[in-house]
Amino acid sequence: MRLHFYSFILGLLAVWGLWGCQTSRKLTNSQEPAASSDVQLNYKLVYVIHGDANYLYHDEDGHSLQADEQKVKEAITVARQARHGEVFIFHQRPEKKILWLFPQKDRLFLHYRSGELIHKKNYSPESSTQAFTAEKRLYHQYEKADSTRVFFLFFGHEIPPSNSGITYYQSRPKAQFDTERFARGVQGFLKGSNRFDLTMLSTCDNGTPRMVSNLQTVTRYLLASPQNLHLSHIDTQPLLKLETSPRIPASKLADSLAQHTYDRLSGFIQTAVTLSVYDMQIVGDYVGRLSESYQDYRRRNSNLNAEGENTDCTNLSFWDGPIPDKGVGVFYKAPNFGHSAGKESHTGWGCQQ
Amino acid sequence: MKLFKSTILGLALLVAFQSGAFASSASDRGKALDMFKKYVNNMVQRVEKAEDPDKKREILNNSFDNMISAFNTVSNMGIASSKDQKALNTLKSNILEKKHELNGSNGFRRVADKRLDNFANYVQQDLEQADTVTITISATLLVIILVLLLLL
Repeated sequence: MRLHFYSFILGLLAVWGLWGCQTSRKLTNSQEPAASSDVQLNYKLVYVIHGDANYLYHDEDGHSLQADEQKVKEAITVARQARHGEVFIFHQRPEKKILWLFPQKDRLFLHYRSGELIHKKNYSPESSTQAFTAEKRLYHQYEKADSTRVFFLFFGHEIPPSNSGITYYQSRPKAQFDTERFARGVQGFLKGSNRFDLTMLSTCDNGTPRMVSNLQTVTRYLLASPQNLHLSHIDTQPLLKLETSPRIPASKLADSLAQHTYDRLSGFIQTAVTLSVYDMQIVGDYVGRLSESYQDYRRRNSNLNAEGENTDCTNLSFWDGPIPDKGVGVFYKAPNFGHSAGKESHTGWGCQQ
Repeated sequence: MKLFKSTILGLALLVAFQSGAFASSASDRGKALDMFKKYVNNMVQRVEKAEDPDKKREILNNSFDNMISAFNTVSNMGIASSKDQKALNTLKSNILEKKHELNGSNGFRRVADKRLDNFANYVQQDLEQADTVTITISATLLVIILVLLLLL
């Protein structure tokens, strides 16, 4: 009898312990900081950091680092200094399941206003066919309406073209994610006909005619790399210029981010450094035709595959005349080794070879 | 001795197949990728520590040969899907190209002795940035490649 009693108590304790583990992962703080109500909010930064894939890398001293976790730390550092801004950080960590059945809330959402953390939540993805459904819901639930300038910052591996068959979320192999879904997904963060001042992609190979064409109606400026770029590479500290110069033009801010990253990377990166800033109004005059022409070329050349790396579009013969570069600011350093060592310039457009 | 090595290799592959069969979850795949990246990092650290350029070159050449040999073995097993095979071919030609550049063959200028440390870093950065390894190769193949690399 006594044995049964102790077993029952132990069972209760175990259930309570498990329940305790679960609740500790949920909302920890939802109070509005008193100080923030007096501060004018001028801008919003939305960080989406993909972590559901392998992001181990090694620094110059050979230390192992997780690029996505490093980027979350950097985003938090920026958020704490953003006295006149609202910062939303979404860390898309791998989904785990309890007893292989029930999804845990593994993704992390952090919300800072005027430099203070006001919401911290674990959440789960809500759709396998649409991008950022849960992130958009949380964003609209907590955003404060009085800041008009919005900046969208995405960190991850290359966002693949549609129908590539590439699994982007390793813990959710059936989830679909591609350039079209990305563009539709980010649009949902906006209200009405608003656009982001700047969209930044710290990913490989997404400075392409197709991606730029897809984001035409979404953002005024786009910073992306037409070739390889590690998730960890674009440094967002220069966004804090919004604190001292709230009216700084988005073009200047984009150039500042690109220049800062270029200067830092050029010091130790042996591979190519290629960053492009696209003025969407100017490139809008021709990017649709450029993208269509390249898609036709791909259809005619079936040996090209969706997993191939990018090359400068000028190296492929699909466009009659020089590849247009009006409205594209290019920050380029050739690799120190390999076939492209010594290549002096880049059009700023990447195409899969 | 050869019989001993073959037996060990056979046993290791058996273990790899067993692990590979279960290495289907994202975390298993992640662990296998981490180990592959650590293998490359170890190569870079050894190159940087070696003082003699000939020794640095030897470390790089041996590592490239081991990787190419592992990719060939896995390709010839006939277990790679067409997607895996494509990724393996891309990886193999990537490493072959690096080997040609190191030794100045196939139209490349030989990497100068004083630039060998930078070249090792170039190889690592190129592999860690590219999505070929990180996104496409299956966990099972990665585990087998790793076992082979540790044995060679």
